[in-house]
Amino acid sequence: MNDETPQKEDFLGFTARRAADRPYFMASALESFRQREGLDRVGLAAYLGLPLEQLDRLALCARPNITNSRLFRTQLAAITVRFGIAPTPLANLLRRVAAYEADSAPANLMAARDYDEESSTDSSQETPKDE
Amino acid sequence: MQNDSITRFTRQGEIEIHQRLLQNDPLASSDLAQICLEPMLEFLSRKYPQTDQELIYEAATQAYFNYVERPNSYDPSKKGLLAFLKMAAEGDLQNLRATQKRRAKRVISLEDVALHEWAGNINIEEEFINRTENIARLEQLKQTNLRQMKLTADTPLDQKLITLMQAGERDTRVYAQLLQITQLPVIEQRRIVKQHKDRLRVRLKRRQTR
Repeated sequence: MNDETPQKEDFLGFTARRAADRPYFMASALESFRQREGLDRVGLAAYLGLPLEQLDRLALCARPNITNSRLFRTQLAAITVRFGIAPTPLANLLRRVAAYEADSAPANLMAARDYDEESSTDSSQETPKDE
Repeated sequence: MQNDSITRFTRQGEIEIHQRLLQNDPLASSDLAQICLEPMLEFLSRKYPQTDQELIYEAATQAYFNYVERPNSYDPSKKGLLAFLKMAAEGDLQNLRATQKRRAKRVISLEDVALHEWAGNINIEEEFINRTENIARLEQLKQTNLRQMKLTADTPLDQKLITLMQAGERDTRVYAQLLQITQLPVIEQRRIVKQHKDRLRVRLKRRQTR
């Protein structure tokens, strides 16, 4: 095994990194946001209020479907409850990534915007940079 | 949606996780990764002990991705999920190995090209006696070829790549920095670097066959 091949215990991390290229996975949104906002993994975990060691598991979740408001809320809730994180930062992250990816399709953002307008009461966690 | 993580594969657990994927439960893929990747890795490593670990990782990951993204490809009435994933990973591994073999056949190393140039005059005894001299000559040929390539390099980037090759640099990270691809996964970096090196080597071969 060469130096760049992951050790067995890091296989989950290896898979999470590979998942960053696949839109199905949350990893793709996390990586896109991390790069755009100039964060490292520690910064990203802190932004989400997530222990660093949980980041790979979150990355391997499916990315909530932002085009379907009801499904988006259900999926977001499932993730935030499981990982014990506040919904607002994750919803904001997904909204921003969708904006990066689909500037020409603003309708896609409605689900996340609805979420923000109706459900977001948690203002304790600031986003790193305002748009 | 189910919030409990399953910690091991049972027949019931397999069916449940498959159902959760079909029902768009966003946690299902993560739960599956935690319980299936390790057994897949162990299965492949045990069955193909001589195979490059990197290929084994790649195959297991690929099979996992393919199933998660297209769960309908699995029919629970035919086979257990873990057995299905192991079989898929094995298929992916065989494909990756075949691709690797084909690539290896195509790649003409600088050494091969240099040797080809003076192969017609080789006398085995002479070569043995003059081994030191020949090694020096081989090295000289390599350097000459690289200098010629450098002179005809299409772009400044190619020139820099050739300079690194000439210096005997073998670290992928150095080439990745030059190609500005360090943000990509290591496997992808390695693939791109190899592509560039192969391209330059092929150019050398063409020059020599003209």
